[in-house]
Amino acid sequence: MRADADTPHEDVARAELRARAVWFAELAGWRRGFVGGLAAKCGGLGAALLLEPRAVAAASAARRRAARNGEADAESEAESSAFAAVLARGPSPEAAPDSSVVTWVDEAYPPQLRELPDPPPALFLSGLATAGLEALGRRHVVAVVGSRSPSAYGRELAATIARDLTAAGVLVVSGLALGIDAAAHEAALDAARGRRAGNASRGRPSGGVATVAVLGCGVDVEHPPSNRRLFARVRGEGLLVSEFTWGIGARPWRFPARNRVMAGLSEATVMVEGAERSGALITARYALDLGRDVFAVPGEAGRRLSAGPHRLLRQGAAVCESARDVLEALGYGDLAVGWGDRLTGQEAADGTEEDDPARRVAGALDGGARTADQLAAATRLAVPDVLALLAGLEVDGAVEACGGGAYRVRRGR
Amino acid sequence: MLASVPSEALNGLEGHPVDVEADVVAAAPTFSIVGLPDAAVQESRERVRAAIVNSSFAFPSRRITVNLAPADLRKEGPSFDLPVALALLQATGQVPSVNGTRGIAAVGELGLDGGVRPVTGALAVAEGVRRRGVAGLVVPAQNAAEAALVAGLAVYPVRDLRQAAAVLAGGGAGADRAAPVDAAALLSTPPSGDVDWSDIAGQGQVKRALEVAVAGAHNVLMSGPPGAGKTMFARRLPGIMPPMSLDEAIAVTRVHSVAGLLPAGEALVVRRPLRAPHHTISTAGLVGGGATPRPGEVSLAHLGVLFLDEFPEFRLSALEGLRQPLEDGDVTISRALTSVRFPARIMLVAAMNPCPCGFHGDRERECTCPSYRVRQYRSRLSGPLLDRVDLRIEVPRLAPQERRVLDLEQTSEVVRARVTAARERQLERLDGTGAYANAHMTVRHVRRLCRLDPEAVRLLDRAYEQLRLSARACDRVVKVAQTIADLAGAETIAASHVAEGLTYRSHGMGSHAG
Amino acid sequence: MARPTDPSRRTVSRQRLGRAAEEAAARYLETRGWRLLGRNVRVGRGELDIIARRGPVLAFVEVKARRTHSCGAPEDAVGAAKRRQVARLAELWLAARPWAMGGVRDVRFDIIAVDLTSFPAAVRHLAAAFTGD
Repeated sequence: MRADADTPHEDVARAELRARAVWFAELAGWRRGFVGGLAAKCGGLGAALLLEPRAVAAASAARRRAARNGEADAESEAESSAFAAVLARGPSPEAAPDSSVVTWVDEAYPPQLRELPDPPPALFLSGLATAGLEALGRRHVVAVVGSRSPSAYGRELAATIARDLTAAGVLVVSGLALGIDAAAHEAALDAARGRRAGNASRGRPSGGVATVAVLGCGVDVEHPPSNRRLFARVRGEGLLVSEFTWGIGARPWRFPARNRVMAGLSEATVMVEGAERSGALITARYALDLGRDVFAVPGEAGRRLSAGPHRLLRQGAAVCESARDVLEALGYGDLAVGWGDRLTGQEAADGTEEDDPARRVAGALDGGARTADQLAAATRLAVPDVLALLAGLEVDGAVEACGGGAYRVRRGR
Repeated sequence: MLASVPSEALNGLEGHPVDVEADVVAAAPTFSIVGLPDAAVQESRERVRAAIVNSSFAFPSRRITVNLAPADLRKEGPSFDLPVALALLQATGQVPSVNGTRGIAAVGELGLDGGVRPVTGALAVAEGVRRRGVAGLVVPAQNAAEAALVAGLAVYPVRDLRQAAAVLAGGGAGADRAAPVDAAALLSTPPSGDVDWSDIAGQGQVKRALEVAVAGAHNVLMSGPPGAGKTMFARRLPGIMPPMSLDEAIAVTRVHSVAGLLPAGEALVVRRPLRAPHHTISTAGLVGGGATPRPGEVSLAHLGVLFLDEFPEFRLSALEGLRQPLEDGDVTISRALTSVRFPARIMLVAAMNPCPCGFHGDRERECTCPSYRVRQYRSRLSGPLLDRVDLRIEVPRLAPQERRVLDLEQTSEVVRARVTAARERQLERLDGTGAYANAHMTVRHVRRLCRLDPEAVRLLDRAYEQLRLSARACDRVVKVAQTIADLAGAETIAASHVAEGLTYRSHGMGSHAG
Repeated sequence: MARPTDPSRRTVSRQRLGRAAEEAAARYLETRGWRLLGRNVRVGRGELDIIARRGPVLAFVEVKARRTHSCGAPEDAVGAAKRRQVARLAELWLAARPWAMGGVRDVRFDIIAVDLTSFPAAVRHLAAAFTGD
């Protein structure tokens, strides 16, 4: 839902607004903080979008450099002239083809991203665009982040966690950087492939987005080059996302910006490994600010590459030893192990109903805690019968009561 | 001259025969009453004197001595005004004693104008008078209906002293008598209520649990966030409770009458009581007591429901006081000179929030209590009291779509019919044990009377092991399972009955404190 | 006439007042069929103003005189202590004379208040004005 303060005026055509949003995104790509500053002056992105392009151009006509003691992220000449050119051009509808751009004005814009104080006006897409956007809106999304030069321990954990999350149906998001990000993406891609195979054998529709990568450069820029093969895989079986328009290169200031988008898309962020000043900590910080869950994988005391996660733990992040920790927080039962197979026997797509009432009840517990009333409605059994079945399952150790009159599949099996 | 009028003193619910004697001799005029506490004497004298004069009788200017015999019996209250005045009138010859008025007793308070005011406990008084063998009783008109419940007693309702004097003068002949009460008819009229079981949307498991609880008179603990509907359920419980028998109705009426809660002119309490005291109530208020022992809420809820909302907020001393009634079914209040017993066989319904802010375990709202406060809050529930709770019911807040589910077929009447049938089966089984519902079975009763199928026994054994139940918890489960079997009309307890009973057990306060 | 400021004079005045009131009370009772059994009867350390009998009623009468009404109604002048004393003395008197109760049905304590400010003096008779308790 759009925030009230940012509701655009109905009179301006949606196409025009879309074009403007894309224009803003382009401008923001070339000049850091541009959209943010504009939105601040107008009182929100929505208000800023209502400005006539000429007004926007006039306001920014003055040529400025982001001169900060001649730092490396000072605006380069090329960027300045690109900025000016786009500014002069104004918004153009052709620059916003539906399939490769989603704007803040569109329904398909990931709703969780709107919670950011400074949401990107547009997202440029490459890969399974439609399915990817849908998945971002519908599935559980978890970011897995960490150092670009992790240890084997970190790499292995990132892979295991990402694999198990994906197997459980969670959408794993990362930055396609070297190290932890790459490990997470690879594992997610492999696991998704396995899941698709499983679906095919059961006669279920295949498909589904394997993973989503959020980039700090244009989606057509493959950075770092050593990840070229991975880029192709993600493009083929997942989704690449960036708030920066095509052609924009990787610059240091764009990574923190990208991190905020990653945090904004995810319900939870898991930091696997990272040094004291790791960039992944920025993602975690953004996640905290948004009130999302933050997990950290602990390591040996004093270990340099666990300093980042340990710092998070000190600040109150949750311990993550495996995907299970994250899945619990998301409200999952442990579907991957033991009871998992029995429970996934009951799925709407199946169309076949279990005859055994106990299995019907067990199946209806898929996905979280349910009260007897809810189970009765789902299985069309009478409440006393459901209660009796639950008791039997409880005695068997398969389910447990979890407060509020609800039961769930028992963990740790 | 000497005259005597029989009356009755109440100690708790028990009546004791009293003779009101009056002696009037020509001597310096004094009016003394012996046998009443000091302060009451002065007040009674003023009322009697004024009532006699204002009823156009002559107040003797002589030495008057009134004695309430026996002297060692504790008597009090203004209900002796009337017999004192009548005895006086007889002793001065203003009212003739016809055929000896040993056959007519009197009780009533007098107003200064000579009017007769109602008293509390008229039913118990009437029962005592009858037991004593006295044939008639003069009572205030507002108390006549309840007194008329006593068979074999001629009840004369009077509005003022003159009328009472006339009754005595005629020996009861020709005087208006209270009509006998058709208690059976009163009890069979269906309760009219503005609330019904079918008003409540969804909450099928809570409804089922409460139906089981009421059927077996099991004590219940409801836990849930504010606004979940615990109070709504409590208010509708009397509607699904089985109707009272005549004996039960009289027992309840007796207590309410002594407490002064019987509305004027009403004969009988026909509906099982639902008492819902506020949690600031004192121990004496809840359990009974006071300088003159009066019944507490727990006795006023005898054979009905005692609803304690915000259970952990009640004073510990008050809750401790509930132990005896929950165990024995009555309350004994001891004083220096006497001890009084009031009945208190209740179904306890306690309601509480899961934590101070109310939202612990709620699926939408977040609990804002620090965990030590949650533990502190829960620790206020005393172990021994929880031990007597047979069913633990969680009342969750409903999701919006659940709130639209209405089951209009399951009205209070329909549910009550099932509950009544189940209760009847219990009465048959429990005949001769002194218990009237499964909840009141002792361990011996359970062993002797509850028959479990082999699978049921196996399930119970497994549950005992796997779920680490205590022996007491197992007994509770069996009692509840018996009620479930009774509701199903089954001869023996099956595994499914035990299974359902298991879901109602207390899962332990800390098991889902996360 | 001597001025009333003289204390001894005042006492004399009061006594004379009292006696005048008693006279008036006695005459009042007799004219109404009462037979006086005694006046200023000494009993123990106290005194009963008038003891009178009429038919079955035996009355012990306290007499109070008032010069003005400013001190309240005369009947209030017989305070609780005085009443108790009268009752006690009456009991003693009766105890010593059992024959006095012959034919007596009612025994009363009356008050007669005499207002000497008017002429002739106004007499108020309060029958059974108080009891012994």
